[in-house]
Amino acid sequence: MSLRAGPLSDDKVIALLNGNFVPVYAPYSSEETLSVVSTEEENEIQRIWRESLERKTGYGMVHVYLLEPATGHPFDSIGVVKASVTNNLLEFLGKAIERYKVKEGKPLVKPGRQVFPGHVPPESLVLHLTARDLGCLKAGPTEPRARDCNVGNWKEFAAENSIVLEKAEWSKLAPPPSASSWKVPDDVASKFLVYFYPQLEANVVSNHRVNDGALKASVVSTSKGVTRVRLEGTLTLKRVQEPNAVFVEAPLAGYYDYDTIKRRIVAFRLMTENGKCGPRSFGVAVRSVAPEELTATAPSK
Amino acid sequence: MITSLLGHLVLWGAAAFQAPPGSAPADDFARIDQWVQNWQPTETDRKFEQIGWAKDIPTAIRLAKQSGRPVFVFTHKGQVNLGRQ
Repeated sequence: MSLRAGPLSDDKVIALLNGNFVPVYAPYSSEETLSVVSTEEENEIQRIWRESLERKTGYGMVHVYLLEPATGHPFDSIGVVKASVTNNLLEFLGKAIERYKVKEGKPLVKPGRQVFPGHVPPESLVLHLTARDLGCLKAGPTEPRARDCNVGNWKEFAAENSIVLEKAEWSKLAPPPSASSWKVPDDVASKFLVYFYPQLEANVVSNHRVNDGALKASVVSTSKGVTRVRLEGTLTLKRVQEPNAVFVEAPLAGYYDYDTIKRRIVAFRLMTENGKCGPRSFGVAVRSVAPEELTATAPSK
Repeated sequence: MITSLLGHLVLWGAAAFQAPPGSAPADDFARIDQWVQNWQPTETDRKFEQIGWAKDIPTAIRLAKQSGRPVFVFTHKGQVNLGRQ
């Protein structure tokens, strides 16, 4: 992640990659990326690792490789620690440009959002979640960073998730007839509450367990066929490896608007302003994503 | 210094979003909207997305053959695009 916060956020590196290379990031299969990495992609990663060892061009699991344009075989590599110093990565890229006499051009793939899934089932409700430590929000323009030392770390940028609720799931959020308040079904609430945690290393989300009845709903008003539902509660997140230890505690507040005529959720907002994860304090914001925002963005892996 | 000041501003901002006792529901919802809006990823957070990433390695290799450009492959643990491990 230091590579993302450092060189991969540097204007000069971004320009070199876009103008002279075909960049691709490739998460390898691990407990954290179950169902994210395709077999074909994993086979390619394994091939690159194997060939780099055979060719003695350098090897590491968290590593940057360069592949020959004509064959796709690795010809050079750099370890992530060294690559996290921007000047090292710039020199590494410059050598490859010289070697292949690359003519600078436009990016071959249009830059775009890397967070949303490329395809969602019809009539799904897509939620976007942003989490970061309190005190780490840096608004305003990017300040130039030093290029001669390792300056980035993974806590410097927000963590994001996109959560897809299929129709059968979000339909459970419809206000029950003649009820003024109710418990949000745990299976639906868990779909997004498992992501209420700050950036962490070596964390497996499938190990998260949400407390029963974490989120309660109540009708606030109905106007022109739209019912506003308040959400409130307290999240207590535990992990299967430490079933008696509280991993995260967070007060929850939010709302959603339910169109009782079209029978769909038209807006969804949920937040925690002061979650606790051990000694850390963090905030989370969840919002519904409009279909046009999804179609306007590049598909992520 | 600037980082410290920004940190204080954010803490001040977070405190300002605390619901005052007895506030009206509409104020609560406006406060939630404000928090959600303020908490969105910033331009700095999203610099990574200014790079034109290929969808996967096979796609990158195909584009490399067509263009004569080398492929830059970053193999890593977790999901660097999400900032999650």
